[in-house]
Amino acid sequence: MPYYKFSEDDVFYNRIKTHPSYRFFTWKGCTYYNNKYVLSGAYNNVVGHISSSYNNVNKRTSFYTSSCASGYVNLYELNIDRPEYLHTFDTKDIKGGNWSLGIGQQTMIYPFLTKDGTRNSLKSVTYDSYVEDFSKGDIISGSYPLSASITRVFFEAGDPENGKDINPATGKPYYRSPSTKEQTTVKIKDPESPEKEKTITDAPKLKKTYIQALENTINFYRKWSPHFVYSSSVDPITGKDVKNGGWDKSYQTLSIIDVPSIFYGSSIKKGAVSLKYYITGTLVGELKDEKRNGELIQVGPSGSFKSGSVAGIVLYNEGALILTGSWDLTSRAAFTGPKSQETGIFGPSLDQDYRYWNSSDKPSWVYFGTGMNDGYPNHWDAQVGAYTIDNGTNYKTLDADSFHSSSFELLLSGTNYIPTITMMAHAKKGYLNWSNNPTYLQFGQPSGSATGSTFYKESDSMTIKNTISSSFACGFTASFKKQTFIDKIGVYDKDRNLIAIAKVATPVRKLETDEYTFKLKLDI
Amino acid sequence: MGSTYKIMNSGDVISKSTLLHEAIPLTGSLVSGTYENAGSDENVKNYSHGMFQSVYDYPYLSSSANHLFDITAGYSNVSALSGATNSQNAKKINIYNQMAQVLVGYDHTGSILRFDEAGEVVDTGTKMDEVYFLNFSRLLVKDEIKKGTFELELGVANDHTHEGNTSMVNGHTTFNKRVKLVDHSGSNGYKVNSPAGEYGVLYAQTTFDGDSTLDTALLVGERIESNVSDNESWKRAGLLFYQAGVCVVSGSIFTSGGHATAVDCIDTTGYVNSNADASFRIDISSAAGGLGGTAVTVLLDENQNGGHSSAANRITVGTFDGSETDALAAGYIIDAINGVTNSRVVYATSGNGQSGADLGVTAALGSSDTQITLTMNKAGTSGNITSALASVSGHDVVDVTAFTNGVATTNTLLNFGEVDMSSTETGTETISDMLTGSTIEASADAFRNRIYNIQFNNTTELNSTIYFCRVNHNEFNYSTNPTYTSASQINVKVDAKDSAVSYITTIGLYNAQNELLAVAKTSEPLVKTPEDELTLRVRLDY
Repeated sequence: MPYYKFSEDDVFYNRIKTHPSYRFFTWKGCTYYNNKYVLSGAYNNVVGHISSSYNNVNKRTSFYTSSCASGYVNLYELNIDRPEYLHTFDTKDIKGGNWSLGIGQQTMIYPFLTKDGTRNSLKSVTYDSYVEDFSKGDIISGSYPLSASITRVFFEAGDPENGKDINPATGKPYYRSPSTKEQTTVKIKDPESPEKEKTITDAPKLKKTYIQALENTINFYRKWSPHFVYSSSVDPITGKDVKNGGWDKSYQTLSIIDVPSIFYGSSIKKGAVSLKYYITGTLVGELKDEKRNGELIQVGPSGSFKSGSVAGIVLYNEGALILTGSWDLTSRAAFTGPKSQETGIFGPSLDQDYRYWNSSDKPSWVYFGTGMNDGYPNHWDAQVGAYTIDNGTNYKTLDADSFHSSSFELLLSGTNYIPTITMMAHAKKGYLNWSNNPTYLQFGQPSGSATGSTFYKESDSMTIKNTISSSFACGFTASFKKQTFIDKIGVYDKDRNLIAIAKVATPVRKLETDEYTFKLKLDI
Repeated sequence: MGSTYKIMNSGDVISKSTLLHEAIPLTGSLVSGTYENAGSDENVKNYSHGMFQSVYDYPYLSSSANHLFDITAGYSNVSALSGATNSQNAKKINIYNQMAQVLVGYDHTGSILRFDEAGEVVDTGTKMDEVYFLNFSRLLVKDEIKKGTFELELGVANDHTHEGNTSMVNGHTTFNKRVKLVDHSGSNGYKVNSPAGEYGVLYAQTTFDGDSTLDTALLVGERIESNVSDNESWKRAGLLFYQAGVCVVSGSIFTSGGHATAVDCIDTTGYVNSNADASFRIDISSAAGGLGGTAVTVLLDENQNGGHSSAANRITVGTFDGSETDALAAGYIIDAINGVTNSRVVYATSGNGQSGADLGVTAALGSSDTQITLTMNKAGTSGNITSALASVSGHDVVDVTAFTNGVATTNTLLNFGEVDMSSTETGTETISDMLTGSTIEASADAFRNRIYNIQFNNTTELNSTIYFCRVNHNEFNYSTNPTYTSASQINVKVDAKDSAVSYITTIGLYNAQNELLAVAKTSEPLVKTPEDELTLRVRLDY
């Protein structure tokens, strides 16, 4: 088998740019990814994505079960339906690598490694824990599934911290006790007189880590649009002074929708982001980044209130959407369409409980994605037959209409790069006209090989079988030509290790006068 | 962007590898039973070609399901089972040959080698000509199965039905007798003479004999008492190819040699009425599993319910004719032969027949309460002894003198009878019947329903290169950052005597053409002054 070396012009390195599209649909606190529905398993209420908590009595009536985990992706998709409650094996029992010390049953697949001198560990183990909790030879283990999901973090004006926690005792939002937090002074809109400012001197120190951490990143993209200005004493759009606390994302009501990079790859594709807001199934607002500069502009439905306004920004490379538009999407105050279409275009003017408990809010972009893994209770309890919140001791049924008339659709495309190698393999004239296949030679002729104590000699006059098809029937043979059939091409490294094989769909006939170039493409 | 490049010396770069493992438990209920619907397992995929069966961890029509492994079966063309009239005969041979040529290879003539139970592929060792194959998914195996961690536990009781089905055949559910196959030789006993990489021998051992005390060996020649050597406790039953992720299970794990029996050979009818002592001898050679040497005499000592004595090579059974029957005498004889402690039984003072000695046979009641059937403990033709029993004196209690129906034990492992692989509870189908008369799919079903547990650890090799980036005291104290200077003066210096200072945030790794290949970032900027020397350890995983 001959070897030929690829010349410099025969090998090309390219990169294929792909744009996979994704759809997230959120309703009743459940997020559905690419229309993937929730499966029920033999051991889990949710299969394929996240193993839910359950007891071993009845998986259906278990404590704190979730039925809507379809918005996740599961790395490796291991442990999709396994009885976790039967997994009693604990690798902490294994000391010094002695597995016989392990007790209990294993029902779950889990990764582990042995602590050694390489200082490698699992990412879930902190460095301090690695040093202090494990000796050489001990087993460091993790668990599957590893999952990623789209999440939303909501910030309310005047709220000191990320999101808002539910007080389990009362079922209402916390307002953190000033005595346990650093004090600071903030200026917020006066709830009683929104046009006025109110100074709060005992507010906890601002700890909105999610949005504050993005300050530099947001400011970096201000070259694209003034909407990327994080804070300013004047309105970056109009240049006028800003009332009521200024233009500052640390204090205004907004929400961040965080998209893990496993969904989009290198970056979100510009111009492919679309957000649709539905009330009782009627589209009341649509945002698109139609300028491809990160501005999320309200583009629909036709004639909607504040159509053309910017309601948020997209951080394409970081995978975050920041929504700040707080106007009432169902407002008819500025409806400009035909009177006959006034009703029905924006859906019913329906107040919803978007802010966790007993609030009465008009639909607006800052509430887009409520229930999207944002801490809003989304736990379905089959025993109660309702969505419930776990208050630690028992179930509490939510108001069925709390926010369930709202549904949200997020469409985006990612940008993913696939490096490829293209290799040109040439079969030149006069080459590759011989085969080592035994059938290449005329059958039945003596091998003619001779051996001695110091030599082995093959015959130099073997007859090649003429495989050229004759144009004439009945025993007429065609003139002899060397003919081979190429069915595969091997790619070798410099040490002649076979590293890849390319196969052709059907063997390619090659005569001495033929010349071929095979184009091999390898995704890496 | 760096403006100063340092060349990495050979001592600054080392390559390491880390072995990451995953524990993979596959319980038997996962592969059969959990997703059973209307008699078929929804997580098991069969194909129209019928050459193998795929097992998933969830109904395979769901995109969430993962492929776990394939099951197939085959035999070599020299197997005694091979026959043109067999069901899928060619396919079974092709399966065997295809797997063998990949996993075992060819000999010098170009012929496909057969699987050898000890891995001696070019030798004349014991070949495994009838085998099951479990081809594990690459998702589970990753780079390789970790040596010494593989366990395959099989139910070998006479019932096809899976655990949880309480229907019983011959008093057993499938898993009431279990053997476990383990790559016992582990990381220091594997073979390297396969073209498919390293492989180990799977050894079988009894793990459950039907009751809470593990005291009955299910395998021929196996000893399961404590403190026995590996050679006595583990029996070869297959091969495990670590990198290929293929488990080859010998069909012998479901087969048994026949034990020779002497049916109703002893009959005590008339002994009590004879009012006299009677005796007979048992002569089992060591080749047949007995004691060999002098035959053991069993003496029925009439009118003795205590105080009777024994002698060399003699077991004395005391009987008391005043109130006892022939049936009671038969019971005493059974205890005497089986070595059971009984006040009426006095074992030999010396020679053969002493207390605790294994006579090589097991006694049980025969067709009536006075008749006794003896069965050879060792299976095989060696138990077919024509004159093992003989009456010595008194009333003749020996009706049958020969043991018969012992069947050869070649390539058999079980010692209690053939496993019924039939899918029906009323039918009987040995592994030989299954492989000849049934399809590969049916054979795979039978095997899958006998899987009690599979577990192993896999291995993924993570390669790392560690670059020690050494920053000497007089290096990297300045920056080309525009903010580092102001008005042609170094910004960080208030006084000309102040030491230069910089903050290291990023390390760039460049190739010989000064092209940036990789970037490492510190979690926080590191202060660098002429008083500091640093070594930054940059690890690149791939």
